[in-house]
Amino acid sequence: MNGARVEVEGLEFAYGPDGPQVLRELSLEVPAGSTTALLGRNGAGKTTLLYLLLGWRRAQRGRIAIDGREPAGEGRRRAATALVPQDEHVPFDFSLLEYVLLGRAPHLAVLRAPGAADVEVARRAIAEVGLAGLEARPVPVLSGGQRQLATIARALAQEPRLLLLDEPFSHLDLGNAARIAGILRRLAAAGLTILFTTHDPNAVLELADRVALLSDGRLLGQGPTREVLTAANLRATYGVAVDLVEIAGRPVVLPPPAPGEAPSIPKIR
Amino acid sequence: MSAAAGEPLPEPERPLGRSLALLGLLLALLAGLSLFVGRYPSPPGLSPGLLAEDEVARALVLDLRLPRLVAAIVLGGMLAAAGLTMQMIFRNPLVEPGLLGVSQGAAFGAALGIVALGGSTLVVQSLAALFALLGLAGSWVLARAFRFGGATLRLVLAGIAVSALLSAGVGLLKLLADPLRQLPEITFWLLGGLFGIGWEQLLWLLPAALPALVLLHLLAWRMNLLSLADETAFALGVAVRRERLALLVLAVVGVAAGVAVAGMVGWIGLITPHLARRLLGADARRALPAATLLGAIVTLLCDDLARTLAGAEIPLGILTSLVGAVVFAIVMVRSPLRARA
Repeated sequence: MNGARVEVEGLEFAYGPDGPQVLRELSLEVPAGSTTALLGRNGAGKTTLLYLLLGWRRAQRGRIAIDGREPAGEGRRRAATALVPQDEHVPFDFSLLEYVLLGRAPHLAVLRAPGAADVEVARRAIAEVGLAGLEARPVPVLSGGQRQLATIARALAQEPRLLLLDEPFSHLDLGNAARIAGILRRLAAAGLTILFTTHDPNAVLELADRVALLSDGRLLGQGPTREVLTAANLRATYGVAVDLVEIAGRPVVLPPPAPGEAPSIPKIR
Repeated sequence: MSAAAGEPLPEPERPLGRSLALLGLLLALLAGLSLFVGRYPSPPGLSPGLLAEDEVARALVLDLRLPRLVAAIVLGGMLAAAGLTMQMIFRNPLVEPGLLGVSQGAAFGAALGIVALGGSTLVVQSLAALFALLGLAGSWVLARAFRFGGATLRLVLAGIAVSALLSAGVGLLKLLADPLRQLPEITFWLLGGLFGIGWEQLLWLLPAALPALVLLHLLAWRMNLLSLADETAFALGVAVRRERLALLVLAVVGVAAGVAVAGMVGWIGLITPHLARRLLGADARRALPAATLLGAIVTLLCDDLARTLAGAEIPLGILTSLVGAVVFAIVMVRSPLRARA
């Protein structure tokens, strides 16, 4: 699989002419095949940036290029970029297979419904996320973790080259979070470019080879995770002092210690 | 059907299953029966053998019952298909096709025709159809001016405001109407019915409703896409606003034609989509034809009851509301509320 390369230059965005500025002078680079995290506080502009990359919102200034092309406009069939929204609401009892099949839409003309080949792709996507055997089950009765997996399967059925995920780990228990991290790692190893938003620095350490730190719509830093995710940068992002420690050879971000409590684990930096 | 865990659903690649064929067969049987059921020569109806020898019976079946039967089938199918379409494109299983000023617009147009313009059938039907479409257009324009909520919420709120305005207009026209001549006519029209239908009335209904029905069925899979969040549908290459408007206009044009000839026939558009989804699942490729067939069946059945139960015609709208409300309550009590409506 050939992952897409994303370049963003000097992006400025506000919701409406009188709305507050959400993104300012934002430039970002996502190499092809990388797994990049957009880390920042709630309301930092992470989801807005995903919408701009998708083409769902248009920036007032700046340039976005996905493999050198602007994001597709409304109604343009382009399968390359897939979105996994945070907590997708499915209002009707679609079966898992019917729901995942919707991911085939960018490959089909308006009056065409999916055929046997599309069903095959959808079944493969369902197997890829480990939900094989549940094809007939209505999506609304799946557990929260299974629903998130179903949404990822729907995005994979699109056969994208860039996968955008909005807070893929929020609302998930430890097991489901680990399961989804494992799936994303496999997809990354296969060459897919992955960009996910999160407010959890440990998810970044776990999964992303690159990170972009976002605060109040500005980029505080970007680059390889181990270089950018420092205690100083995290303090600048979240406005509180955090500890970056090493446990069993793995870096972990800890919240600030309670007053009077001495940290017993040596800090990294 | 809202299948229980693990229960196999029909394969999505084969949307026309046995259940649809059964519904079609049921409709055909009911239609055949409906031609002979009635109060002539005496209830419950006439025997087919009578057609050969009784000229009155032949005329009754061919010139009155047959066009009325076709109208009931097309009207019911159209209301149900429009209801399912609007529920899906507004992502809300409680939406019905008269929303967005359509029903109240038709009522206002008809009342205006009766009170101010002589009340001929042609005038009443034209104004009902015109104001149904104006109700929709008004809701659409007002929604664009609203500065509150998302696109769907704005449209629904604007529809409520426009409906209230038109309903006030209907009230005013009732107040101005001649209480002996015009008021009963308005009341009867508002209760709905197919008593006045002949072949020439079908020329109103069929040219609008049949193409709308065909196009809606061709676009059924797109409805599935539009039932997802706007940004997801956009990411899947859907022209969200354009496609939603196209489906909405198809649904409303068909309904406006139906309301123009039959008056206000409630609940078919709300109930039958729920029944169809419970029978065949949510995928509109199966639910839409199922809802259309069910709408036709229920409307035809109610119309048969309307013209046979009592010596005088019972308005169809009363029966569809009665049957609809009871069925709706049963479905809602029995359904596990998975749809999170």
